[in-house]
Amino acid sequence: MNYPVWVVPYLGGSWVIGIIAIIHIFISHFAVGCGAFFALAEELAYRRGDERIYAFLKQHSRFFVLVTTVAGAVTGVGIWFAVSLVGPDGIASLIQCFSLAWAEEYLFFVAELATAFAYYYTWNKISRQKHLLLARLYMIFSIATLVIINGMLTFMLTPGKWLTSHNWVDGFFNPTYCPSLIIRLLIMFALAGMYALVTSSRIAEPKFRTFMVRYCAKWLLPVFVIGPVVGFWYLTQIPQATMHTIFTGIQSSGVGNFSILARALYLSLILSGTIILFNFFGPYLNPRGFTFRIALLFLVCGLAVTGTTEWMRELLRKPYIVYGYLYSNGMHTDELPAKVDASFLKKGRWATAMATPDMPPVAKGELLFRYECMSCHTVRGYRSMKTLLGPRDEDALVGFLQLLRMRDRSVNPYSGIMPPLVASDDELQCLSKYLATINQKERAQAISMSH
Amino acid sequence: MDPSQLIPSYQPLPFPLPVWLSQTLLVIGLYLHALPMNVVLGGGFISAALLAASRRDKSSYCWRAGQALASSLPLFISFAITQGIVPLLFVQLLYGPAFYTSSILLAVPWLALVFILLFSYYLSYLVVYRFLKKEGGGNLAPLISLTLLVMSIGFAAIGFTFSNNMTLMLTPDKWAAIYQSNPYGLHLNWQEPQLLPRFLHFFVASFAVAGMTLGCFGLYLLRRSQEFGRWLIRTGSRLFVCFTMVNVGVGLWFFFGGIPARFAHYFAGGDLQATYMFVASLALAAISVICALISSINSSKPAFLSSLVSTLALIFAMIVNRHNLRLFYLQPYLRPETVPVVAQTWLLGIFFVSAVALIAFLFWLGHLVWSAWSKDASVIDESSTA
Repeated sequence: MNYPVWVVPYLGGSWVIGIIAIIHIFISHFAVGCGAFFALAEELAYRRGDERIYAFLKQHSRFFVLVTTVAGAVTGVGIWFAVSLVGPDGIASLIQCFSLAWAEEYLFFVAELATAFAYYYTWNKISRQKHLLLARLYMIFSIATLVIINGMLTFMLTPGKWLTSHNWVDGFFNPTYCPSLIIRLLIMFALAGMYALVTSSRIAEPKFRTFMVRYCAKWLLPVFVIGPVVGFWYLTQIPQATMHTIFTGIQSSGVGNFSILARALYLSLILSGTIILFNFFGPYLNPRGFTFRIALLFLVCGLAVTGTTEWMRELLRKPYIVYGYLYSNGMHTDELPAKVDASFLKKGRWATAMATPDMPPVAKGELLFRYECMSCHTVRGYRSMKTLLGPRDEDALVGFLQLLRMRDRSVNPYSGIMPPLVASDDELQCLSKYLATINQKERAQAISMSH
Repeated sequence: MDPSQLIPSYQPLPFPLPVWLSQTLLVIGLYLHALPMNVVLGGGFISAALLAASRRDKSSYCWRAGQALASSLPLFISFAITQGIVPLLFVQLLYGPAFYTSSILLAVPWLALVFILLFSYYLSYLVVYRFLKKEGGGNLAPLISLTLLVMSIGFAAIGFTFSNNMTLMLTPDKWAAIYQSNPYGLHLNWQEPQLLPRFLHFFVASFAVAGMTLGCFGLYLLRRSQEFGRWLIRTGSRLFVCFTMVNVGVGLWFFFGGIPARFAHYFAGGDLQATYMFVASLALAAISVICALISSINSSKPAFLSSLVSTLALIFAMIVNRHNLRLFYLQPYLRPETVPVVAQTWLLGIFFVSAVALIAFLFWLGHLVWSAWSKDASVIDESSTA
C-alpha cells in the first residue's frame, strides 16, 4: 500500500522470487559446500601425493568457477531485484536494519570470489602448499558469507527479541540462527558431494573413479545423520502458530485435508529419503556402477529437495514477511486499525492515491484485491481466486470477507495464515463485487447443474 | 495529482549509519563498479571490432590486442557484478522509496536484465574457452566477433535499462500516469529528455575507457615486447581521444538538451560545491585528452600514465556530478536526512577494519597471482614438489 503493486498474472509475484531463489540457493549452497570440499580433497591429494586427485580437482574447479561465479552471482542479484519488485517494504525494512551486515557480507563475497579465481587460475603455477592455502581461505570466506546472510534469512521467520528492542544484534542472533546455520552447512556439504559426483562419474580410469565416487558419496552422509536432530531443534524454535499449522496438517492427513505446509514437509522428507537410499546403495556401496546419468539424476533430486524445502520455509512465515512485524501484503502489524471496519484505502501512499472518489465499485474492489490479496493470490493461476472462490455468489462472498476481517482465531480460522482483511463496510461490498466478476462462469455452471 | 503524495514513506526504523557516510559509500561503491563495467561495455565492442578487422592475420597486433581484451572480459564482468552490490545497497537505503517505485513501474525490463546479464556473461566464457583457446581460432574469427557483438549488445541493453530506471526514479510526476496505464511493469522511460543523451554519455565513455585498458595492457607488455607494448599504448590512446571528443558533443547535448535548465544552473554557479566539481571534471577531461593525444603520437609512457591518472579522477568526478544531479532532482520529494539515525557503531568499526583487511588481502592475492603468471610454471612446480 506504500508502493505500487506489480501485477504478475498467473505466476504471481511470490513465484517470480521463488524460481530465481531456488536456483540461486541450489548454486550458492554448492559454492559454500564446495569450498570445504576443495580444502579437504586437496589436503587428501597433498598428503597422498596423488596426482590423479589434483587432476580431478583442477577439472572440477573449472566447472565450479563457471557455475558459481556466473550463475550463482547473477541469480543472487536476481533475487534482490525480484524481492524489491514484489515486496519493497520487506526488503526496505531488512536494508534499514541490516545495511552494515550486508556491507560486511559484500566484503567476504569479494574475498570469496577473488580467491575462487586465484584458485582456478593458479593451478600448477604456484607451490602446492600455497594452492592448498587458497582452498582453505576460500572455504573460510564462503562460510563467512553464510554466517552473515543466515542472520538476515532467519530474522524474517524468528525476529525474536528484536520485535521489542529493535536492536540489530537481537534480530541477527535470533532463535533459529544456530539450527539454521548448521542445517544449511550440512546441506551445503551434501550438495558439494552431489556436484562432485557429476565430475567423478566422468573419470576414465575405473579404479580411481570408484575411489572418487565413494569419496564424494561420503559428503552426503552427515546431513542425513545429524540433519534430523538439528531439524527437530529448528522446529522447536519456530513460532508456535506455525507449529500448530504443521501439526493440524499432519493430524488431518488421514482424512485427506492436510495443509500445504504439511504436504511440503512430506515431499521434502520423501525426496531426502530417496536421495539417502540411492546414495547409500548406489555410489557408496556400489561405486563401480555409478554413471554420469545417475549423477545428473542426483542433481535433479537435489534441486527438487532444495525447492521444496525453501518453499516450505517460505510457507512457515505466512502471513508475514517479518514474523509479527510486517504482513506479506506490506502492512505493518502496528498499522492494523483498532476498529474492524476501518477503511483500507485511506492508508498507505499508493493505495490512497489510486483510489479516486468517482471510482466504480468493481474498480475499487480490484484495487483492494491488488493491495490486500495479490501478494499471495492470483486471479487465475497460482493460488487462483477463481478456484478458491468456487461458485460463491456475492452474498456468500460478503459473509466470507466479513469472516476474514475478524482477528480472533477462534472465529476466523484463516487468521494464522492470512493477514487480517482491512476494509470498511463499503469497501467490503466493493471487494465482493469485484470477486464476483472472477467466478461468474463457476457460478453459472453451478446454477445450471442445480437446475 | 501532487507527485509528493506518491512518495512512499521510509520504513519506521532508524538508519544504521549517518546519511553522509552512506552517501560516501554509495559514491565510492559506484566508482568501483563503474571502472570494470566500462571496460566490459566498451571492451566487448572494441574486441569484436579488433578481431573482425584482423580476422585474416592471427599474428597481427590487432588480433593479439583483441584476443587479450576479450580474454580478460569474464574477470572484469565478475568485478563489475561484485562491485555493484555496494551502490545497489546504499541507493536502496537512501533513496529506496523512489528507487523501488520506479523499478516496479519498469519491472519486466528491470528483471529481464538479470537474464540478459547471465546470457552475456556465459557468452564471454564461450568466447574464451570454446573459440579463442582452440587451435586455428582465426577461422572462427567471424563467429568470435559476432558472439562478442551479441554479448556487448546485451550489456548495452542492461546499461540502457539502468538509465531508464535511474531517470524515472528522479521524476515522480510521471509515476501515476505510467502505473495507471499499465500495472504489469512493461514500461520504459522513453519520454524522458535526458534518457538518450545520458545513456549515450556513459556508453561512449565506455569505449574511451576500453581504449585506456588497451593502453594499460601495453604498459604491462612493454618489458616483454617493446614494440607491441608501444602499439597498444598508441592505439589505446587514439581510441580514448576519439571517443572522448565524441563524448564532449554528447555531454553538451546532455547538459543543454537533457537536464532541465533549473538543474543545469546549479552546475554553472548556482551551487558552489556542484560547480567546483563540474569545473574540475572539465579540467580533468582536458588534461586526459591532451596527455592521451601525446601518447597517441609517440607512445610516451609518462604521457599515457598522466592521461590514465586523470581519467581515473575524471570518472570519480563524473560520478559525483551524477550524484549531485540526483540530489537536485529529489530534493523536493525525498529527504533521507529526516530519518533518525541509531549508529551501529560496533558493526561500523568491524566493517572498516574488514575493509582494510580485505584491501591488504587483495594486494597479497594479486601479488601471488601476478608472480605466478610472470614465472615459468614448470620451474615452480618442480621446486615445490621436490
